[in-house]
Amino acid sequence: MSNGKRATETEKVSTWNREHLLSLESLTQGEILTILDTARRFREVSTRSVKKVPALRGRVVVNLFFETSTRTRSSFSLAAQRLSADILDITAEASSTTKGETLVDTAKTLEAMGVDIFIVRHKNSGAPQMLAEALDTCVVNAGDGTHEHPTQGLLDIYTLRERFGDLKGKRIALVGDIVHSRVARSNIWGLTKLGAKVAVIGPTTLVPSSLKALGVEVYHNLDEVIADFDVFNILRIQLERQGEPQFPSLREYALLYGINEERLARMRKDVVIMHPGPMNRGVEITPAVADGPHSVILEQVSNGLAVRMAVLFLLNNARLRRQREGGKSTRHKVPV
Amino acid sequence: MAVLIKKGRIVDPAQKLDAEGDVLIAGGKVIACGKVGKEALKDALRDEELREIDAHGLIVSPGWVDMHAHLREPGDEQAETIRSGARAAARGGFTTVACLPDTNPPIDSESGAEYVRLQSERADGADVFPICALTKGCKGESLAELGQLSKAGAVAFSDTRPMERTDLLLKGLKYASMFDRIVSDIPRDPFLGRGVMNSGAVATLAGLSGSPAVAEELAVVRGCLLARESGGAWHAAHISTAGAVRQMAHGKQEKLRVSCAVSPVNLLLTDEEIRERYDTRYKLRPPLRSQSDIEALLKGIESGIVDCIVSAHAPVSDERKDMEFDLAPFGGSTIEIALAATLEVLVHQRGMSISRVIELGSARPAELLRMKGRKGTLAPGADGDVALIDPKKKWKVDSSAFISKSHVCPIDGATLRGQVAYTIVRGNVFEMETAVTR
Repeated sequence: MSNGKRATETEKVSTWNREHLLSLESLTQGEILTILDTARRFREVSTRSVKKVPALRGRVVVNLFFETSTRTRSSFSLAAQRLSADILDITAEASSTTKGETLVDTAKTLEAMGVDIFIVRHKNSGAPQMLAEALDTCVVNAGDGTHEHPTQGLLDIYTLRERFGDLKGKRIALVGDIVHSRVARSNIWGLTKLGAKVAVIGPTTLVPSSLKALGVEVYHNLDEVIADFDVFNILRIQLERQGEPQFPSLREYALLYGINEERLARMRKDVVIMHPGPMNRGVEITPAVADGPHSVILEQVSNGLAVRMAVLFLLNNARLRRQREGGKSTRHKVPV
Repeated sequence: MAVLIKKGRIVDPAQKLDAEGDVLIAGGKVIACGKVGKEALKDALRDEELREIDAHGLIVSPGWVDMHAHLREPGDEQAETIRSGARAAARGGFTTVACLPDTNPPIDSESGAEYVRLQSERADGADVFPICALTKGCKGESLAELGQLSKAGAVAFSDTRPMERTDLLLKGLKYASMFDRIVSDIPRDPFLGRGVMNSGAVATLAGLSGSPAVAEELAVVRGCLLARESGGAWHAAHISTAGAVRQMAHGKQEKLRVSCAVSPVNLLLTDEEIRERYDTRYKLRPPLRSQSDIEALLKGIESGIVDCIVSAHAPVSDERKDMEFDLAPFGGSTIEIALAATLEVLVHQRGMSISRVIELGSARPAELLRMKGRKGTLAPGADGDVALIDPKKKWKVDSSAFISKSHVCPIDGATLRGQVAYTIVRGNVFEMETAVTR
């Protein structure tokens, strides 16, 4: 990397002024690229024998998870640890919310103990937004209801850029439960901002046609369009979010939309298969495909760590800079 | 005290009146409207002192009649009481309020209905009348004693929630017609309409569950068909969609006994408001819809398909709104702004005649609540209920200054044109400058 290039990246980092990451919808193309470029530099940290840098030394990061999660939570924990932050893990079962305390009160109580960054997962859409408005800390959305999961979107995009470079004109299909998927929304916003062509494929009951307004193609017959895409991102069937079942049976779903070897054979030769996990093996994806040569599922996981390090690093920098410059809190006021 | 309102523009659609003149109120009743004769004035002054109000530049409207307001008492007095709600209504220009029975316990008994009337008398605000439960406990299982409730003061019947059982709604319509009362139905399919906001692109992107427009249209179709089947009077408590207007138009063309109301908030805001901040003050029932729905509602109002304006006042204690969007309760405090918001959107933005708008807020709802001649008009012999309106006065909504116990208002901060200067309830004068004091 030349010195000139390095300078522009440093410049990008120093112009980053967001203290929250709530959605990819709210980011510009430039901001998305800044995160991804920063992530690339952190990716290298994972290959060292001492996997630690002092960027967040003395900062306190709290994982505030109101929904169960293994991969996202451990990924954020490790990311924070590699940046030398102190990390506190809180799950809903262990918190006061079960005693009737409101979300904001719970977070404010923790904030009073000197928290710098909250990483929030919540079953209700918009909950991280609410905290960002109420608190004077950084807030990272680690998945809210059926709204967005921005770091998942970023790590998916990071993985694709490692493969393709520029994503302009690349055709990417999201398959499955789009209605209930926050991963889908973040992917759609992020990918379209980088010029990729996004399609959603799934049963009519799980794919909202209103997405066409965003320039997203909508298909219901997977087999008809199976040879048209560079990437298939297979989403998990989220039975826990559906309430009432949205299709007759998992068996029927697997027959219509399950990605198996037979379908893989009809895809493009160099197709990339993704899955945000956790997988329902045998439902939306068969083991042979998930573990096969086209799959980048484990790469996605490793890249997630670097992306999350980048996010924590950038948000913290922006907050420190604002505090140094004596700026006002970014807490929103109610617009009149 | 007798009240003489002088030199105002009297607009009373029930009398087809729109002319400058005076109104005399004595003994709580309108004595004269238009020209006040010397004899009448003398008679009035025999037992009472006279208060004169210079109404120059003001519109003298019959006091408005709100046929859809939750006053939360008994059971949720933190959010509202009949007293606070009645006084808030008076400040907003409403002199009559029909309050809903979805309290705890629900208003489904004679003693409950009488309690509402008693609290209203003690309230020193608008007159409050109970809409009573259609079924026992508002549970939708068996009919309440509609005959006894009518005697005790019920002005209409409603379960204040969607009726699951079509057979009971049909039976209720038939039975209520014996006592000449409307059944005010919440037009929402109970299964399809379960979401937290309008279905559509905004809900999809925000990741919030949607209640589709068709859930409302379906309920209106059902209501119209059951009105035909029963011969009863079916009323849609509040409509918000183009589809509902379309179906109401069919029903009215067929001359069925059907009617409907609209809340002005549904004419001012769309579901886009929810997009950016998940602000729970926009979590309302009916939900905020799209611009094309607003256009259809406005056309429906102009063509007479919509019968009246309601506040849809649904006060919620402030702290309960301070929650995740999914978990926050529906509702908002709107009784103090409904009249002004209606003038803003219908008169100032849409150019409708003031007379037609006043009809939507007074004469027609009074008729639906079977109070024609007594409420909603300034004809001699009617209750002395007046709203004196400064039609062009600009003011900014400040919900923190509400009399209502709930300060969560979907149009807080908005600038409206048209403000109530005085409200008079059976001869008692409430002056707005000094808030509500006699």
